Amino acid sequence: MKSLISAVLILGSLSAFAKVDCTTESKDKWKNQDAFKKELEATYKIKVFKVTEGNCYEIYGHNKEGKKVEIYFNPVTGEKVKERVQ
Amino acid sequence: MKNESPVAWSLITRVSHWLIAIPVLLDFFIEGGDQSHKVIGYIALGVTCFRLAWGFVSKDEANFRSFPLDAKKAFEYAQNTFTNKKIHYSGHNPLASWTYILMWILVIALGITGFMMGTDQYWGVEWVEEVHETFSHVLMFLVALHFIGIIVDSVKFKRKTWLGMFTGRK
Repeated sequence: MKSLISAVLILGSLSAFAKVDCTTESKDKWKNQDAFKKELEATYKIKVFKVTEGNCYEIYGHNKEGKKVEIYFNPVTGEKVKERVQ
Repeated sequence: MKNESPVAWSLITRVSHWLIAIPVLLDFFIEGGDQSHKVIGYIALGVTCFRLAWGFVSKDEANFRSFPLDAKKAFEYAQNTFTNKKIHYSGHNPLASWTYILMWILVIALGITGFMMGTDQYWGVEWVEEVHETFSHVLMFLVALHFIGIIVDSVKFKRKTWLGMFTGRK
């Protein structure tokens, strides 16, 4: 039973919900959320903004062409870590 | 060829089994949001819908007639898996029947929530993602049960049912 549970956990960690890690810096080094959002709003229409478990700022929204985007940012530098355009 | 057992699963049944099984396993490892994840997911969804229709019309053990769903018997069967008692079902046992039906329901639910995640309305909406993710983990748990069932069936009952999913006979 134990080996079954660990097998399920290992498989689970490999699953399609890959976690994106953005920074290990402490939160006091992070950009201010509201200011960063304002910065992004020049380029994107933000639908959802969140702080992820992997210490990223993440947005769901639309880009200038109206395409749906999901982007992970490094909250310290503001650099894109991962971007998905639909 | 002589002394062959009757065909338990026709070619259509077997092909639909694998056309659900392989996409489901692949999609578990292909990152969500990728185009391939979607295409593969919709294949699983389409074949599952076909499989459910097939369950009403097929003449082999794929027919829902061959799926005993008595909850009490399923529970009994689960208990007996861990004892020496051997309750034998020539077709699907009730525990397996529940497992299969839940797996199909989950594939459909994954298809629906997966579609929702790509719509403007639900883009980035957390609960939809969480439901999709939870369903996928429950489905993988059922897949694990399915494998355990195959192992119990071949070790405890000394049957080669699993081979039937390739040859059609068991």
